[in-house]
Amino acid sequence: MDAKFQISADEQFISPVCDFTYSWSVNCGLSRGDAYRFSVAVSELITDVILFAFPGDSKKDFEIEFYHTPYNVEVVVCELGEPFDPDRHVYDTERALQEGDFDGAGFLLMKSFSDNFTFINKGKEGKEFRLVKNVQIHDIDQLLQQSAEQREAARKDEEDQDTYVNIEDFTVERTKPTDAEDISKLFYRTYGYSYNKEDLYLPKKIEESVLAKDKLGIIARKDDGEAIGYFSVIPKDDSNIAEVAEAVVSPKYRRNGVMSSMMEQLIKIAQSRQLTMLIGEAVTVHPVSQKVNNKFGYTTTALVLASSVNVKYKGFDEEYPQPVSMALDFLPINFPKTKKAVYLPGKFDEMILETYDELGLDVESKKSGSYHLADKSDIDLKIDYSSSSSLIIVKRYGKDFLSVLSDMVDSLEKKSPETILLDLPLENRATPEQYLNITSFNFIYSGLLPQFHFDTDFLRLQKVYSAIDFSIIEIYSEFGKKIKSFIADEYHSNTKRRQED
Amino acid sequence: MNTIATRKEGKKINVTVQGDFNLRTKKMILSRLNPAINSLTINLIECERIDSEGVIFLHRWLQKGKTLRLIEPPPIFFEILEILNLEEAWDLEKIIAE
Repeated sequence: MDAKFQISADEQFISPVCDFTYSWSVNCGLSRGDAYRFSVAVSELITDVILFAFPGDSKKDFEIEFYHTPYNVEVVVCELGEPFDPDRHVYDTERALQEGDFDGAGFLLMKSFSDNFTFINKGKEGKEFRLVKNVQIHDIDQLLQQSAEQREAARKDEEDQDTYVNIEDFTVERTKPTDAEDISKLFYRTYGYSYNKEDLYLPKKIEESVLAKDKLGIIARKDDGEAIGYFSVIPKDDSNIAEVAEAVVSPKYRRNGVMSSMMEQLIKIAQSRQLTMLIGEAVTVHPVSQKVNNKFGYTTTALVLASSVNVKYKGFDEEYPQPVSMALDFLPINFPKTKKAVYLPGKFDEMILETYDELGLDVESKKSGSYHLADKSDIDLKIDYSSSSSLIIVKRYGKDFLSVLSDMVDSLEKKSPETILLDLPLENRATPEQYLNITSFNFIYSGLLPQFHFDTDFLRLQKVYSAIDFSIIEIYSEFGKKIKSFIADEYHSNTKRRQED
Repeated sequence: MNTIATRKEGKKINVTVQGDFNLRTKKMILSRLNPAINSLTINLIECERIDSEGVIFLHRWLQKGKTLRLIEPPPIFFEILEILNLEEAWDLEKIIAE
């Protein structure tokens, strides 16, 4: 999160928040025009909250949060005012012209001046409004001097001439801002323009992320200074673990141990930073990434179905016929030695305990016993707009858990999602019973996420809305295959049951 | 911060908006109006942003059959008219002052 304001529902704060939104959006990479329109969308949103959530002069507080990624900016407004549903306020031109009734005009402008508007009803937890504007990434890499055709032809020539070259020596070291251009070129030479993270073709974006210390990166160079490999991880913001972001070795310098050296260096850095885990998210359209992870000791602990949109992957002649599922691979590096207590839903306890065993982690599976529920639940929501997937993270169960979860899922389902993920805390003694209460939601198993949120272990469940053909999901490790089979069985019996209903 | 300056001349009022034309600005302008005023001129040269509250206020003023003149509204004003399908209801040639 970049910023969070708690402001009074008072119209005098509309302008300052819009001014901040504009400056922050420009800073995050929006054009001035897009930032300006986005600030008007925010003006509409705050105005509606003031007028409709807090009518009269109540001037109660609400929260506004600002997030950004290299691809978009997001403003989230959370409030506990009077219930209302944007879907019931649809602008009608005729009604506006004839009756002067402009109901829904604000929502129409919010949708027009943003790329995504989402309303989440959280029941007693209040309401959440999310506005997203995509960053239009263009040009700026040095390669723009040539036409796209010339670049592609040059790259193909280079690829045709590729043979593996043995090198006697190379160095690996932490990335510096000045490495940005070399990193961009590495991705271009390896993937052409098919790599799915566009910011890696933009040296300025890479430089910014190095300066901001968003990533821990390693670059490998030959003796003559030529960059031949890059590996980076992103520390998670809610836990002391890091996720592998990118890994690339220049094709002709493969088979020289470059990737191994970078990984070893990265593990040393991660250990010195007291990170407890490294996570690799590997595509399942082919087993290559999983194979690399497996070689370095990672264990597949979860399979997330339909995790990203259908894409054309290099090496595949046709578009992959379903949203791509991802294997989550974990590597413990500084795991606490104390045996932790976990509370496992009976349906999954064997699979989860086996996963802990595969990871080499010693846990004690305990019975829940009695526990106390808080008055209110504490639940986070993260939405990935590019893949139409949402992640609900349960931080604390409250007496309202069932109704809040039900309202959130209902709201998300109105947006036609690909998947909804639900992370339940395994170190919370309420989890086994609360899981039984939510079986009617039709979430199925995804896997174990050790140390994943708030340095504690979570069970990931998933609800998938598209048809999945498990035969084309490629899993490399034997244990990963076991998880896939477990999930497939549950998916098929779940689908059958829903059809019968 | 959005502020306004007003000058009344009989049944006419001239308003200068500085900053944003939003819910707050609308309320400030409303507080300076009285039933006798039938002509409103708004100088928007220094107006940075206008939202639906501003546009709807202006539309309702026109619907009452009163006179409206706008000086240099920001480009987003025309975008909002288009999105809300209000363009044809507004005689922009008369409303937008040279």
